Amino acid sequence: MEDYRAPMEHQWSPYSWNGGTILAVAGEDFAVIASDTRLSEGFQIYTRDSPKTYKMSDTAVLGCSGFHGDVLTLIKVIEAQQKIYRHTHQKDLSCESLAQLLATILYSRRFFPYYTYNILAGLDKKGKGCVYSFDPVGSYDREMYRAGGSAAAMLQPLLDNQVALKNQAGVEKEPLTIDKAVSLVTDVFTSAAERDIYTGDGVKISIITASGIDVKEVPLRRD
Amino acid sequence: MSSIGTGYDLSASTYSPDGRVFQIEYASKAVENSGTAIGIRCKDGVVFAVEKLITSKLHEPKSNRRIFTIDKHIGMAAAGLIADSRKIVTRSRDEAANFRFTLAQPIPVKHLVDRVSGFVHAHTLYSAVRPFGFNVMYGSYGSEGPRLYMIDPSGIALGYFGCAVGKAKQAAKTEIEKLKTQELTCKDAIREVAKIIYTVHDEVKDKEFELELSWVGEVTGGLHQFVPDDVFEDAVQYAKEAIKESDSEDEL
Repeated sequence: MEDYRAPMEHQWSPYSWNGGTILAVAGEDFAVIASDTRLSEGFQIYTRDSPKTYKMSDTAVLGCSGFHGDVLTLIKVIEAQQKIYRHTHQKDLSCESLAQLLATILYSRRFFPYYTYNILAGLDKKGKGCVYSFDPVGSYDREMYRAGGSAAAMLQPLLDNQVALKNQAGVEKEPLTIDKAVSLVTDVFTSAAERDIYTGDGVKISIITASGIDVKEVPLRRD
Repeated sequence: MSSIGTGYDLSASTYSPDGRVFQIEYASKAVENSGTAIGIRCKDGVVFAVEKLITSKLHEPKSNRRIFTIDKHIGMAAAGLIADSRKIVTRSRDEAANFRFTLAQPIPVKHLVDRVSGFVHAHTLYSAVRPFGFNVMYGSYGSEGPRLYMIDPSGIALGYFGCAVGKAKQAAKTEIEKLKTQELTCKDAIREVAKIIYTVHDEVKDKEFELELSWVGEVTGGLHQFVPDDVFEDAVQYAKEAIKESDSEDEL
Protein backbone atom coordinates (compact mmCIF):
# COMPACT_ATOMS: atom_id res chain seq x y z
CA MET A 1 0.00 0.00 0.00
CA GLU A 2 1.26 3.53 -0.74
CA ASP A 3 2.08 6.02 1.97
CA TYR A 4 0.00 9.18 1.46
CA ARG A 5 1.32 11.05 4.48
CA ALA A 6 3.04 14.42 3.99
CA PRO A 7 6.87 14.40 4.38
CA MET A 8 8.00 15.19 7.97
CA GLU A 9 11.45 16.42 8.71
CA HIS A 10 12.84 15.19 12.02
CA GLN A 11 15.56 17.01 13.87
CA TRP A 12 17.00 16.27 17.32
CA SER A 13 16.62 19.20 19.75
CA PRO A 14 19.11 19.90 22.52
CA TYR A 15 16.30 21.45 24.56
CA SER A 16 13.11 20.16 26.15
CA TRP A 17 10.42 21.86 28.19
CA ASN A 18 9.97 20.60 31.75
CA GLY A 19 7.27 23.02 32.85
CA GLY A 20 7.16 24.83 36.17
CA THR A 21 5.90 28.22 37.24
CA ILE A 22 7.73 30.71 39.43
CA LEU A 23 6.55 33.90 41.08
CA ALA A 24 8.10 36.58 43.28
CA VAL A 25 6.77 39.64 45.12
CA ALA A 26 8.81 42.32 46.91
CA GLY A 27 7.57 44.10 50.02
CA GLU A 28 9.05 47.00 51.96
CA ASP A 29 11.44 44.90 54.05
CA PHE A 30 10.77 41.37 52.78
CA ALA A 31 10.51 39.36 49.58
CA VAL A 32 8.45 36.29 48.77
CA ILE A 33 9.36 33.80 46.04
CA ALA A 34 7.39 30.68 45.17
CA SER A 35 7.44 27.86 42.66
CA ASP A 36 5.32 24.83 41.95
CA THR A 37 6.94 21.44 42.51
CA ARG A 38 5.92 19.49 39.42
CA LEU A 39 8.55 18.32 36.92
CA SER A 40 7.10 17.10 33.64
CA GLU A 41 7.72 16.51 29.94
CA GLY A 42 4.76 16.47 27.55
CA PHE A 43 1.89 14.66 29.28
CA GLN A 44 4.25 12.78 31.58
CA ILE A 45 5.08 13.76 35.13
CA TYR A 46 8.66 12.96 36.18
CA THR A 47 8.12 13.87 39.81
CA ARG A 48 5.72 15.81 42.00
CA ASP A 49 8.51 17.00 44.30
CA SER A 50 10.96 19.12 42.32
CA PRO A 51 10.91 22.74 43.57
CA LYS A 52 12.32 25.36 41.25
CA THR A 53 13.68 27.75 43.88
CA TYR A 54 17.32 27.62 44.94
CA LYS A 55 18.80 29.39 47.94
CA MET A 56 21.76 31.56 46.97
CA SER A 57 22.47 33.19 50.35
CA ASP A 58 20.71 34.38 53.50
CA THR A 59 19.38 37.31 51.50
CA ALA A 60 18.73 35.87 48.03
CA VAL A 61 16.72 33.02 46.48
CA LEU A 62 16.75 32.24 42.76
CA GLY A 63 13.74 30.78 40.98
CA CYS A 64 14.70 28.96 37.81
CA SER A 65 12.35 27.14 35.39
CA GLY A 66 12.20 25.94 31.77
CA PHE A 67 14.57 23.23 30.59
CA HIS A 68 15.63 21.33 33.69
CA GLY A 69 19.03 20.35 32.27
CA ASP A 70 19.97 23.99 31.79
CA VAL A 71 18.45 24.90 35.17
CA LEU A 72 20.75 22.45 36.97
CA THR A 73 23.84 23.56 35.03
CA LEU A 74 23.10 27.24 35.51
CA ILE A 75 22.71 26.75 39.26
CA LYS A 76 26.03 24.90 39.33
CA VAL A 77 27.79 27.73 37.47
CA ILE A 78 26.32 30.43 39.71
CA GLU A 79 27.18 28.55 42.89
CA ALA A 80 30.76 28.05 41.68
CA GLN A 81 31.14 31.77 41.00
CA GLN A 82 29.63 32.57 44.39
CA LYS A 83 32.17 30.32 46.04
CA ILE A 84 35.04 32.17 44.35
CA TYR A 85 33.59 35.53 45.41
CA ARG A 86 33.20 34.36 49.02
CA HIS A 87 36.78 33.11 49.13
CA THR A 88 38.14 36.30 47.57
CA HIS A 89 36.06 38.89 49.41
CA GLN A 90 35.10 37.15 52.67
CA LYS A 91 31.45 38.06 52.22
CA ASP A 92 28.30 37.12 50.32
CA LEU A 93 27.25 38.65 47.02
CA SER A 94 24.58 41.31 47.39
CA CYS A 95 21.32 40.86 45.48
CA GLU A 96 22.23 43.61 43.00
CA SER A 97 25.60 42.03 42.25
CA LEU A 98 24.11 38.54 41.97
CA ALA A 99 21.63 39.87 39.42
CA GLN A 100 24.37 41.46 37.34
CA LEU A 101 26.44 38.28 37.57
CA LEU A 102 23.54 36.13 36.42
CA ALA A 103 22.95 38.45 33.47
CA THR A 104 26.60 38.12 32.45
CA ILE A 105 26.49 34.33 32.73
CA LEU A 106 23.31 34.14 30.65
CA TYR A 107 24.66 36.46 27.95
CA SER A 108 27.89 34.49 27.70
CA ARG A 109 25.68 31.83 26.11
CA ARG A 110 23.98 34.28 23.75
CA PHE A 111 24.36 31.94 20.76
CA PHE A 112 23.33 28.71 22.52
CA PRO A 113 21.17 30.02 25.36
CA TYR A 114 20.37 28.59 28.75
CA TYR A 115 16.69 27.76 28.21
CA THR A 116 15.74 29.09 31.62
CA TYR A 117 13.36 31.69 32.98
CA ASN A 118 14.92 33.24 36.06
CA ILE A 119 13.58 35.35 38.87
CA LEU A 120 15.83 36.47 41.71
CA ALA A 121 14.25 37.65 44.95
CA GLY A 122 15.70 38.90 48.21
CA LEU A 123 16.82 41.94 50.17
CA ASP A 124 18.97 44.65 48.60
CA LYS A 125 22.00 46.25 50.25
CA LYS A 126 19.72 48.64 52.11
CA GLY A 127 17.50 45.82 53.44
CA LYS A 128 14.58 46.56 51.15
CA GLY A 129 12.73 43.80 49.29
CA CYS A 130 13.78 43.34 45.66
CA VAL A 131 12.81 41.19 42.69
CA TYR A 132 14.93 40.88 39.53
CA SER A 133 13.52 39.08 36.46
CA PHE A 134 15.51 37.83 33.47
CA ASP A 135 14.99 36.56 29.97
CA PRO A 136 16.94 33.51 28.73
CA VAL A 137 19.85 35.64 27.43
CA GLY A 138 20.28 37.93 30.41
CA SER A 139 18.12 40.99 29.83
CA TYR A 140 17.01 42.00 33.33
CA ASP A 141 15.12 44.56 35.33
CA ARG A 142 14.28 45.23 38.95
CA GLU A 143 10.56 45.04 39.67
CA MET A 144 8.09 44.81 42.53
CA TYR A 145 6.59 41.50 41.36
CA ARG A 146 6.97 39.08 38.46
CA ALA A 147 5.61 35.70 37.36
CA GLY A 148 7.72 33.43 35.17
CA GLY A 149 7.66 30.04 33.51
CA SER A 150 4.73 27.98 32.35
CA ALA A 151 1.71 29.85 33.77
CA ALA A 152 3.33 33.30 33.71
CA ALA A 153 0.78 34.70 31.25
CA MET A 154 -2.05 33.65 33.57
CA LEU A 155 -0.49 35.01 36.76
CA GLN A 156 1.12 38.27 35.69
CA PRO A 157 -2.16 40.12 34.85
CA LEU A 158 -3.62 38.99 38.17
CA LEU A 159 -0.62 40.39 40.03
CA ASP A 160 -0.90 43.66 38.09
CA ASN A 161 -4.42 43.97 39.44
CA GLN A 162 -3.88 42.73 43.00
CA VAL A 163 -0.37 43.95 43.88
CA ALA A 164 -0.04 47.15 41.85
CA LEU A 165 -3.81 47.77 41.99
CA LYS A 166 -3.89 48.51 38.25
CA ASN A 167 -7.22 49.24 36.56
CA GLN A 168 -8.94 49.56 39.89
CA ALA A 169 -10.72 52.83 40.57
CA GLY A 170 -10.85 54.39 44.04
CA VAL A 171 -8.88 51.74 45.93
CA GLU A 172 -6.61 52.77 48.81
CA LYS A 173 -3.06 51.53 48.43
CA GLU A 174 -2.07 49.78 51.65
CA PRO A 175 1.46 48.55 52.27
CA LEU A 176 1.81 44.86 51.44
CA THR A 177 2.26 42.64 54.50
CA ILE A 178 3.95 39.25 54.49
CA ASP A 179 0.69 37.42 55.31
CA LYS A 180 -1.19 39.13 52.50
CA ALA A 181 1.61 38.39 50.07
CA VAL A 182 1.70 34.70 51.05
CA SER A 183 -2.08 34.28 50.80
CA LEU A 184 -2.05 36.02 47.41
CA VAL A 185 0.72 33.73 46.16
CA THR A 186 -1.15 30.64 47.39
CA ASP A 187 -4.36 31.79 45.67
CA VAL A 188 -2.73 32.53 42.31
CA PHE A 189 -0.95 29.18 42.24
CA THR A 190 -4.20 27.38 43.03
CA SER A 191 -5.79 29.20 40.08
CA ALA A 192 -2.88 28.39 37.76
CA ALA A 193 -3.08 24.68 38.67
CA GLU A 194 -6.69 24.66 37.52
CA ARG A 195 -5.91 25.60 33.95
CA ASP A 196 -2.23 24.95 33.23
CA ILE A 197 -1.34 21.28 32.80
CA TYR A 198 2.30 21.86 33.71
CA THR A 199 1.53 23.52 37.05
CA GLY A 200 0.35 21.53 40.06
CA ASP A 201 1.24 18.98 42.79
CA GLY A 202 2.50 21.54 45.30
CA VAL A 203 3.86 25.03 45.82
CA LYS A 204 6.96 25.91 47.85
CA ILE A 205 7.02 29.47 49.19
CA SER A 206 10.21 31.12 50.54
CA ILE A 207 9.82 34.26 52.66
CA ILE A 208 13.04 36.29 52.88
CA THR A 209 13.43 38.75 55.75
CA ALA A 210 16.27 40.22 57.76
CA SER A 211 15.82 37.36 60.27
CA GLY A 212 16.32 34.68 57.63
CA ILE A 213 14.38 32.55 55.16
CA ASP A 214 11.08 30.93 56.14
CA VAL A 215 9.66 28.14 53.97
CA LYS A 216 6.02 27.07 53.53
CA GLU A 217 4.72 24.16 51.45
CA VAL A 218 1.12 24.06 50.25
CA PRO A 219 -0.38 21.16 48.26
CA LEU A 220 -1.96 21.74 44.82
CA ARG A 221 -4.14 19.72 42.44
CA ARG A 222 -2.38 16.58 41.27
CA ASP A 223 -4.22 16.18 37.96
CA MET B 1 72.94 45.63 49.10
CA SER B 2 74.18 46.99 45.80
CA SER B 3 76.19 44.62 43.72
CA ILE B 4 76.59 44.04 40.01
CA GLY B 5 75.41 40.74 38.66
CA THR B 6 77.64 40.32 35.67
CA GLY B 7 76.48 37.40 33.62
CA TYR B 8 73.27 36.82 35.55
CA ASP B 9 71.58 40.13 34.91
CA LEU B 10 70.75 40.04 31.23
CA SER B 11 67.19 38.75 31.50
CA ALA B 12 64.42 38.41 34.03
CA SER B 13 64.34 34.68 33.45
CA THR B 14 67.77 34.16 35.02
CA TYR B 15 68.59 33.66 38.70
CA SER B 16 71.98 34.60 40.10
CA PRO B 17 73.86 32.01 42.18
CA ASP B 18 72.71 33.77 45.34
CA GLY B 19 69.07 33.53 44.28
CA ARG B 20 68.45 37.06 43.00
CA VAL B 21 66.79 38.23 39.82
CA PHE B 22 68.86 41.29 38.99
CA GLN B 23 66.55 42.70 36.35
CA ILE B 24 63.88 43.26 38.99
CA GLU B 25 66.40 45.01 41.26
CA TYR B 26 67.55 47.20 38.39
CA ALA B 27 63.90 48.13 37.74
CA SER B 28 63.76 49.59 41.25
CA LYS B 29 66.72 51.82 40.37
CA ALA B 30 64.51 53.53 37.81
CA VAL B 31 62.19 54.51 40.64
CA GLU B 32 65.00 55.85 42.80
CA ASN B 33 65.82 58.47 40.20
CA SER B 34 62.29 59.78 39.88
CA GLY B 35 60.64 62.67 41.70
CA THR B 36 59.38 61.86 45.20
CA ALA B 37 55.82 60.69 45.74
CA ILE B 38 54.18 60.19 49.12
CA GLY B 39 50.88 58.86 50.35
CA ILE B 40 49.36 58.96 53.82
CA ARG B 41 46.38 57.01 55.12
CA CYS B 42 44.75 59.21 57.70
CA LYS B 43 41.69 58.95 59.90
CA ASP B 44 39.11 59.74 57.24
CA GLY B 45 40.82 59.23 53.90
CA VAL B 46 44.05 59.03 51.89
CA VAL B 47 46.16 61.92 50.57
CA PHE B 48 48.82 61.91 47.82
CA ALA B 49 51.56 64.42 47.08
CA VAL B 50 53.94 64.19 44.14
CA GLU B 51 57.07 66.22 43.38
CA LYS B 52 56.88 66.51 39.62
CA LEU B 53 60.34 67.58 38.41
CA ILE B 54 60.25 69.97 35.49
CA THR B 55 63.08 69.90 33.03
CA SER B 56 61.75 72.39 30.49
CA LYS B 57 60.87 76.07 30.78
CA LEU B 58 58.15 75.45 28.22
CA HIS B 59 56.37 72.93 30.41
CA GLU B 60 52.60 73.51 30.65
CA PRO B 61 51.37 73.38 34.26
CA LYS B 62 49.08 70.46 35.14
CA SER B 63 50.29 68.44 32.16
CA ASN B 64 52.13 65.11 32.42
CA ARG B 65 50.25 64.21 35.57
CA ARG B 66 51.60 61.61 37.94
CA ILE B 67 48.39 61.16 39.89
CA PHE B 68 45.50 59.31 38.26
CA THR B 69 41.92 58.37 39.05
CA ILE B 70 40.98 54.71 38.68
CA ASP B 71 37.17 54.48 38.81
CA LYS B 72 35.50 57.11 40.98
CA HIS B 73 36.69 56.00 44.37
CA ILE B 74 40.34 55.03 43.83
CA GLY B 75 43.34 57.26 43.27
CA MET B 76 46.79 56.24 42.08
CA ALA B 77 50.17 57.99 42.38
CA ALA B 78 53.14 56.81 40.34
CA ALA B 79 56.92 57.10 40.66
CA GLY B 80 59.52 55.80 38.23
CA LEU B 81 59.16 55.34 34.48
CA ILE B 82 55.98 57.28 33.83
CA ALA B 83 55.38 55.62 30.45
CA ASP B 84 55.28 52.27 32.24
CA SER B 85 52.88 53.63 34.83
CA ARG B 86 50.51 54.81 32.07
CA LYS B 87 50.12 51.18 31.02
CA ILE B 88 49.22 50.16 34.55
CA VAL B 89 46.70 52.99 34.76
CA THR B 90 44.88 51.58 31.72
CA ARG B 91 45.07 48.09 33.14
CA SER B 92 43.72 49.23 36.53
CA ARG B 93 40.86 51.12 34.89
CA ASP B 94 40.00 48.04 32.81
CA GLU B 95 39.98 45.82 35.89
CA ALA B 96 37.76 48.25 37.77
CA ALA B 97 35.36 48.66 34.84
CA ASN B 98 35.19 44.94 34.27
CA PHE B 99 34.37 44.36 37.94
CA ARG B 100 31.54 46.85 37.71
CA PHE B 101 30.32 45.16 34.53
CA THR B 102 30.05 41.71 36.06
CA LEU B 103 29.07 42.62 39.61
CA ALA B 104 27.35 46.04 39.43
CA GLN B 105 29.60 47.17 42.28
CA PRO B 106 32.67 49.44 42.66
CA ILE B 107 35.82 47.33 42.94
CA PRO B 108 37.22 47.03 46.48
CA VAL B 109 40.74 48.50 46.31
CA LYS B 110 42.25 45.42 47.96
CA HIS B 111 40.94 43.26 45.12
CA LEU B 112 42.14 45.73 42.49
CA VAL B 113 45.62 45.76 43.97
CA ASP B 114 45.57 41.96 44.04
CA ARG B 115 44.75 41.82 40.33
CA VAL B 116 47.20 44.52 39.26
CA SER B 117 50.09 43.14 41.31
CA GLY B 118 49.57 39.79 39.56
CA PHE B 119 49.87 41.58 36.24
CA VAL B 120 53.05 43.36 37.34
CA HIS B 121 54.48 40.10 38.65
CA ALA B 122 53.76 38.34 35.36
CA HIS B 123 56.20 40.73 33.67
CA THR B 124 59.01 39.43 35.87
CA LEU B 125 58.75 35.86 34.67
CA TYR B 126 59.83 36.02 31.03
CA SER B 127 62.80 37.20 29.03
CA ALA B 128 60.48 38.43 26.28
CA VAL B 129 59.27 41.36 28.41
CA ARG B 130 60.99 43.57 30.95
CA PRO B 131 59.77 44.26 34.49
CA PHE B 132 57.83 47.50 34.99
CA GLY B 133 59.96 50.39 36.24
CA PHE B 134 57.59 51.96 38.73
CA ASN B 135 56.21 51.98 42.25
CA VAL B 136 52.52 52.79 42.26
CA MET B 137 50.40 53.70 45.27
CA TYR B 138 46.65 53.14 45.40
CA GLY B 139 44.40 55.04 47.80
CA SER B 140 40.69 54.64 48.41
CA TYR B 141 37.95 55.43 50.92
CA GLY B 142 35.32 52.74 50.65
CA SER B 143 33.10 50.63 52.86
CA GLU B 144 36.17 49.33 54.72
CA GLY B 145 37.40 52.86 55.44
CA PRO B 146 40.61 54.50 54.16
CA ARG B 147 43.13 52.17 52.52
CA LEU B 148 46.60 52.76 51.03
CA TYR B 149 48.57 50.14 49.09
CA MET B 150 51.81 50.13 47.10
CA ILE B 151 53.00 47.82 44.32
CA ASP B 152 56.70 47.55 43.49
CA PRO B 153 58.38 46.26 40.29
CA SER B 154 58.54 42.71 41.62
CA GLY B 155 54.77 42.63 41.96
CA ILE B 156 54.74 42.70 45.77
CA ALA B 157 51.78 44.65 47.15
CA LEU B 158 51.57 45.79 50.75
CA GLY B 159 49.20 47.97 52.74
CA TYR B 160 50.52 51.08 54.45
CA PHE B 161 49.66 53.90 56.81
CA GLY B 162 52.36 56.04 55.18
CA CYS B 163 54.43 55.49 52.08
CA ALA B 164 57.22 57.31 50.22
CA VAL B 165 58.99 56.52 46.96
CA GLY B 166 61.48 58.23 44.67
CA LYS B 167 64.58 60.36 45.10
CA ALA B 168 64.01 61.53 48.64
CA LYS B 169 62.11 58.56 49.97
CA GLN B 170 64.34 58.12 53.01
CA ALA B 171 63.99 61.73 54.10
CA ALA B 172 60.25 61.68 53.33
CA LYS B 173 59.76 58.48 55.31
CA THR B 174 61.48 60.03 58.30
CA GLU B 175 59.14 63.02 58.09
CA ILE B 176 56.06 60.82 57.78
CA GLU B 177 57.11 58.79 60.80
CA LYS B 178 57.08 61.99 62.87
CA LEU B 179 53.37 62.37 62.18
CA LYS B 180 50.58 60.57 64.05
CA THR B 181 48.84 59.60 60.82
CA GLN B 182 45.89 57.91 62.50
CA GLU B 183 44.95 61.12 64.29
CA LEU B 184 45.13 63.38 61.24
CA THR B 185 42.14 64.27 59.12
CA CYS B 186 42.55 64.69 55.36
CA LYS B 187 42.48 68.47 55.77
CA ASP B 188 45.45 68.32 58.16
CA ALA B 189 47.29 65.65 56.22
CA ILE B 190 47.13 67.49 52.90
CA ARG B 191 49.10 70.37 54.40
CA GLU B 192 51.59 67.99 55.96
CA VAL B 193 52.32 66.12 52.73
CA ALA B 194 52.77 69.40 50.86
CA LYS B 195 55.20 70.47 53.55
CA ILE B 196 57.12 67.19 53.32
CA ILE B 197 57.51 67.50 49.55
CA TYR B 198 58.80 71.05 49.87
CA THR B 199 61.12 69.99 52.70
CA VAL B 200 62.72 67.04 50.94
CA HIS B 201 62.99 68.75 47.55
CA ASP B 202 66.64 69.24 46.66
CA GLU B 203 67.07 72.90 45.65
CA VAL B 204 70.57 72.35 44.40
CA LYS B 205 70.29 69.26 42.25
CA ASP B 206 66.71 69.68 40.95
CA LYS B 207 65.65 73.20 40.14
CA GLU B 208 61.98 73.46 39.28
CA PHE B 209 59.18 71.24 40.40
CA GLU B 210 55.40 71.28 40.24
CA LEU B 211 53.47 69.95 43.20
CA GLU B 212 50.51 67.61 42.63
CA LEU B 213 48.08 67.09 45.48
CA SER B 214 45.08 64.79 45.58
CA TRP B 215 42.82 63.21 48.14
CA VAL B 216 40.00 60.74 48.61
CA GLY B 217 37.97 60.55 51.79
CA GLU B 218 35.13 61.83 53.90
CA VAL B 219 35.90 65.36 52.68
CA THR B 220 35.23 64.37 49.04
CA GLY B 221 32.36 61.98 49.73
CA GLY B 222 34.49 59.01 48.76
CA LEU B 223 35.53 60.41 45.35
CA HIS B 224 39.17 60.73 44.34
CA GLN B 225 39.92 64.33 43.32
CA PHE B 226 42.76 66.77 42.83
CA VAL B 227 42.48 69.22 45.73
CA PRO B 228 40.53 72.44 45.07
CA ASP B 229 42.59 75.56 44.31
CA ASP B 230 42.03 77.19 47.71
CA VAL B 231 43.12 74.07 49.58
CA PHE B 232 46.14 73.82 47.28
CA GLU B 233 47.17 77.44 47.89
CA ASP B 234 46.74 77.00 51.62
CA ALA B 235 48.84 73.83 51.67
CA VAL B 236 51.62 75.42 49.60
CA GLN B 237 51.69 78.45 51.86
CA TYR B 238 51.87 76.24 54.95
CA ALA B 239 54.73 74.32 53.30
CA LYS B 240 56.68 77.44 52.33
CA GLU B 241 56.31 78.95 55.77
CA ALA B 242 57.48 75.75 57.40
CA ILE B 243 60.62 75.77 55.26
CA LYS B 244 61.30 79.41 56.06
CA GLU B 245 61.07 78.66 59.75
CA SER B 246 63.40 75.71 59.58
CA ASP B 247 65.79 77.70 57.35
CA SER B 248 65.90 80.53 59.84
CA GLU B 249 66.40 78.00 62.63
CA ASP B 250 69.40 76.65 60.73
CA GLU B 251 70.81 80.14 60.36
CA LEU B 252 70.57 80.72 64.09
